[in-house]
Amino acid sequence: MARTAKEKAVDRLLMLYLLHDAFSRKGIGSVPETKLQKLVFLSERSMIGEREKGFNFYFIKLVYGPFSQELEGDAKKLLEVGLVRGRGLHPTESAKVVLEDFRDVIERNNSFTQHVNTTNDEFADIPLHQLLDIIHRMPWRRGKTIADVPMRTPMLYPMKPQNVSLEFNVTDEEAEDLLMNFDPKSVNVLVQAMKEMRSGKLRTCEQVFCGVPK
Amino acid sequence: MVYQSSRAHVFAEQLADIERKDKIRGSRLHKAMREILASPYGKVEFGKGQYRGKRKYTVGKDRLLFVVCKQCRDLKHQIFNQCSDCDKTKDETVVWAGIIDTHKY
Repeated sequence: MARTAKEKAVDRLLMLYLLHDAFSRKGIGSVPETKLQKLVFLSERSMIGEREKGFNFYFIKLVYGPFSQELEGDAKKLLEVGLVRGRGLHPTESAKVVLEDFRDVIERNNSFTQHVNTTNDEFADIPLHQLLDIIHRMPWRRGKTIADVPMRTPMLYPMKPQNVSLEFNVTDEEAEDLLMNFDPKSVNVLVQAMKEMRSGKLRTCEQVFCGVPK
Repeated sequence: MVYQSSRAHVFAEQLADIERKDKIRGSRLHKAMREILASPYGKVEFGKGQYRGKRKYTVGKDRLLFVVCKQCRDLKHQIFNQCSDCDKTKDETVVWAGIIDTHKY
């Protein structure tokens, strides 16, 4: 089932938080996309273990372990809107501004960010090949490990509402404000407007309202 | 007192595009713009994150982004908006920055 707008907003905020935390607190130099996939997988797994609905990504098993197509798309969006840069997905100054302005949302949901922090503490600075090894050796059902699971097996998916004990708390308005920051089209409008405001190339009052129906 | 207004080209293009495709939506936006110009401090909501320094106004599923020059100066939002013609613009001016279409999230 497709994610709701609110779920998308939460996923992108938590992903940005994870990247910022990995860079600022753990001091690592880059988080390639494959590593981001694994760190989010481990965070979501830990949340689901406590029946907490934070991340809402659908993961399947591929050659390099758990993979989510939605996460791949969201990471691209963060790049497009300029919240992260480069292949190492380094958070930009704009990312810090977004996290600062949504600090109250983050603090209100510290149970979820705690899962992210713990995941980063344990795994963020481990080299990717070692991290993949750890994940492949993690237990799966019936005494198997993740390495034994056939390709394309669903590994994580959003919890059913009746199984949720704690849900990420964000209002509709906050979710909308977040999505405005994560939407490339909206940010593009803002960037263009800012360029014009900085260059002073704005249309005047008379031009604005000529032909405007009263 | 009705405020003056100026707008970014991107805003003008968006508005023209909306009017062409959906007249009702276009006239709703114009009505909201007139309301803001007549009373720019009626419903103050600021954008967050990358939208710092811009006011937003809800019109159905659209969000009008704008700046009220006096308010921008009073709150020292020039640091975010950085209009190069700030010293030539009257306090009683509204700058229309853009329209965010939240239908598509």
